[in-house]
Amino acid sequence: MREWYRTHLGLNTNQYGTVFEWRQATDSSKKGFSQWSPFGEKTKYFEPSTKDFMINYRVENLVALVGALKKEGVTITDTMETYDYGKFIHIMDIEGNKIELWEPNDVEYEKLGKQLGSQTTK
Amino acid sequence: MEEQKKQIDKSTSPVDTTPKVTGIGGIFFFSDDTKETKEWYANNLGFDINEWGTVSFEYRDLNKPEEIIPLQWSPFKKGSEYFAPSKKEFMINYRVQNIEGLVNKLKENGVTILDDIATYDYGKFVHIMDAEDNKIELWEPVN
Repeated sequence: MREWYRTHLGLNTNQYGTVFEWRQATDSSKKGFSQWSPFGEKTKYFEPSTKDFMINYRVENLVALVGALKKEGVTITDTMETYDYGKFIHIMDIEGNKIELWEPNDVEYEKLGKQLGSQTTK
Repeated sequence: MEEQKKQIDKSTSPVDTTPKVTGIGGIFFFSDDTKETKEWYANNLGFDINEWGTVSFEYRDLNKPEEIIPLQWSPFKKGSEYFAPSKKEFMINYRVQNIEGLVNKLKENGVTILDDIATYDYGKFVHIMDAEDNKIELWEPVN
């Protein structure tokens, strides 16, 4: 799958997929990144969703957002994980889609990509 | 040194016409109740639903920072013909450059092209099937 997208559509893929690199609308000096990854059909990463896709949304102030979501009775499927390149948590939407919320640290994310020697798609 | 400079210029030049994908233009997925789904995302995650009832995220091309590009997010009514002949519950729109060149290359490569390039005020569109029967939309925005 990754090879097909590299060969035919020019995505700069690595073992994880690709990273799209862009600039932020509110401040063009800041970069932003979007991860694109095909997962094996049998992955458990999308569970408990039974859908064949999962979307990662970039958010700001994840701690406050999770607090608000809990108050609103939204299903949170794990606890917040913190890495250099950002904080992550997973929730279920109203139709059983699992979604990933990511408060990115784009500067650290870019460093990580460079350490891995990965080319972005842009 | 000169050699290296030329290479850098080539990769960042706005006149690069290599037929390829440059970004994501949209994420579409099936929903049982699109109105309810949109409201849920507005109420819980702060999505801005615009006057056409759709949501678009804004970003800029890495190499053309002066232009704002929309990324369209839209739930579609489950079973919508728009995703056919794909049987998947999602469809991705990829932003491309040189769509004509890309379609020619894809034809040469034997990729299934589902329609002719359609031109609108906001860009050119064509639909293809990937290696695992996901229908994908290719979009070249208007300059």
